[in-house]
Amino acid sequence: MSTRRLSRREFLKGTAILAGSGLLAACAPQPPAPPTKPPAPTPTPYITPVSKVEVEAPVRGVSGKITIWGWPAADKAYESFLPDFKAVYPNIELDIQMMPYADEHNKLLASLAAGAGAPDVGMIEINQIDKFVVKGGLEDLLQPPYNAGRYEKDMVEYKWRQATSPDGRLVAFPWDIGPATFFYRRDLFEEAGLPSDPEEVGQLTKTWSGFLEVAKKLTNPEKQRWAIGNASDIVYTNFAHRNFFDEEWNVVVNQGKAVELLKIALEARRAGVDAKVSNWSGEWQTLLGQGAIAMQYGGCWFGGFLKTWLKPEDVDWSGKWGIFEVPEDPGQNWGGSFLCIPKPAKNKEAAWAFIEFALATSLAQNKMFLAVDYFPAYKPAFEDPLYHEPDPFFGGQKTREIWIDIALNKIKPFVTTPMDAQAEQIFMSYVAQCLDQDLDPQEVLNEAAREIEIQTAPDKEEALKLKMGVSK
Amino acid sequence: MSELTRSEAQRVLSSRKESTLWREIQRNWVAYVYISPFFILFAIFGAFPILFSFYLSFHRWNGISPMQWVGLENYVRLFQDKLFWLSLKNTIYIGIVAHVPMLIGALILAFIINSPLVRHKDFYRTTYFLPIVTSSVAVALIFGSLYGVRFGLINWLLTGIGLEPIDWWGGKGQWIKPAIIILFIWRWLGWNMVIYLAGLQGIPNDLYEAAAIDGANLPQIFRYVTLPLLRPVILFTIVLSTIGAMTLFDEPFILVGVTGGTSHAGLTIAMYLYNRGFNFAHFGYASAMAYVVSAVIIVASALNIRFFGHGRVEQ
Repeated sequence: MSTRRLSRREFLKGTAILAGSGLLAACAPQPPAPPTKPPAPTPTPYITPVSKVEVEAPVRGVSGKITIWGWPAADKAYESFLPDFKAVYPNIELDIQMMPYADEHNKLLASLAAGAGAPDVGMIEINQIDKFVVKGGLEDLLQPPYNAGRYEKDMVEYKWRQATSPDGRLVAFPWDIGPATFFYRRDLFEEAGLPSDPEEVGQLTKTWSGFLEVAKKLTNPEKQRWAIGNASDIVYTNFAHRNFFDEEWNVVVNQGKAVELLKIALEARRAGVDAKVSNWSGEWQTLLGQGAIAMQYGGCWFGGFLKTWLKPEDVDWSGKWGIFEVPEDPGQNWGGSFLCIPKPAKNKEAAWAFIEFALATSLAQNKMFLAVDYFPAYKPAFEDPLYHEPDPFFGGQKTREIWIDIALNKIKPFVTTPMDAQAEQIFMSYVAQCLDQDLDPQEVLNEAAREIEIQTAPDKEEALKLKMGVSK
Repeated sequence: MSELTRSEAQRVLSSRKESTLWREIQRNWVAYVYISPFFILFAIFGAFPILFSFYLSFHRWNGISPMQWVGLENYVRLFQDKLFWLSLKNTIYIGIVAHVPMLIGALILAFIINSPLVRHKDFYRTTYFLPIVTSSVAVALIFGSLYGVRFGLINWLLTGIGLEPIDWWGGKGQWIKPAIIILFIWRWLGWNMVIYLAGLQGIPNDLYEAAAIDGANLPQIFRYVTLPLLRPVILFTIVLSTIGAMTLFDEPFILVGVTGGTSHAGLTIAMYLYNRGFNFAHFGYASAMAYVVSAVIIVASALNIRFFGHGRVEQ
């Protein structure tokens, strides 16, 4: 009898321990969140401080409290220029509320639908901007009192266009852009007997066939080494949230560039140079951290990721990375965000003062860039010498000059539509299917085009109504 | 006088039919106030969304712009949508392949644990129940490292004994459904086992003893005593499972993300609904899908009750 009681007590102890370990497991860190740029890079110590200060304060004397929504690291970005803002607008009080990336967009959408509970300043990411451009609910910033039109010439052109609705409203104000390149590990290139200097690597990878040659030399599955994470990135270079439709909004994913790139990606997959992991998965992060992936495609913000959360704690990556432009067509962009003023906002004047100060002054844009690596869409900011500094993390390569060059000179006009987010999801699903099953690229993309046509039809109809100025 | 009372009585009688309920409410208003919170909350968070979503299913609505009446357009598009049929097929496939072995396994486990031979019953009960209370983030992390293609524990074991590693997420997606099913069974086996265990403990011991005295062996006891008496509980778990299977979301979502992996092999109907409703703000379309799913659940549950509930023991 007594032994039985004892075992029962032991059992209780056992369950307590198990429950405790369950709790511990529940506290485990979250897996990396969606693409683009949710996690918070910490301030980068190796960049020279801002040298040029110019504040073009418009209307002072604005006052009141404004609520600002966003996701990290926007809070760190805002903190970086807060004293300067306070100096110009001493009477504006900021209530900065951060939430997870997806929640922010859902809450913003819900508050707009309800017509209540909206913040004064909302943040919208490029993959979500479609949802907002065809709808009402956000202030048209081209109208008085905002008159944002005067900043059009200062902003990177395509960024401005993405926030413009089919009927010509500017629903959000450009924050940052994502000029995109390949990032590569210098030490892994050397190990494979390849040159590691950015100039020479750039020469070798000028064409996709050159890129594939390099990739084959880098790959060695015996040693757990692959050139790239996933071959679908090769296609994605030209289709990160754009180019699914032509100027007339006809689906064009089954012609030209898309087919060409998918053929190259399929060649890469057949050659076995990709690790077949999907970007942002836990396994991808492990492989990258262990030096099993030698090249990775990403927007310039990816540099911030490498410096912070992607880098395993026990390794020193400083000087080990470099960047080179996308073969054959270097003018690429991936990612970027906007700020908006919802119609139900209570203090629109102060909200606009904040947006203007944060996004349309070199001072705030560059301070934010230094703090969190959000690359300004505001062109005058590029005049700062910091953009011509070498970055020790990239072995002294002048990476920012390359990104500016891409944003200003290399990006060719491209088409964005309000149907892009859905089109991208369908398109990339078919790309994966083609690579995974070794199917004919042209046939797969024909099917993708058909499917995009069908699935985006209602949205296209709505957007066209706006475009044609037909009011319901 | 008598006439007056007569007509009075008649009036009272006729009005009584209509107003008894209202009078009862008036008389017992305090009690109704006490039970009202449930009904008020249900009206706001239950009934209203259910009805509104039906109304919404005939509209095109992106959440902000005014709603547009489109009649049956959403339903017509839905029935022509390849992904809808694929996700429905996936859902039913995963539902059946995951639930049949899981329920049988749970029943057998419960029977074993309930037998007087097993000691430390509470320990087993708790251990099997633990996966349900584990946070889905932790589950995602652990199964992510189990199913890794290059650095996964399962593939490491397979290559260790000289087998080919499994390409979990690639190919035609043929390994995605098994991966989901394994995770699902791991997660929900204990839940059903605990329900069965509760049912088993409600069966009086003398029935077993009587069967044993009559010379029944263990399988016979299971077949002729346990199973018939457990029928209501089994029906209950089957109906719950039908609903659970049709609304399957968590497990595939944490493993393969919102598109369901390559060739949409892991896309379930709930994920597709979520994707269209909340990712692309096609609320009318998603509502139409919700109503079609509800119809499927109702039909499936009715079939289950007919099939398994026949001759059931009244509780």
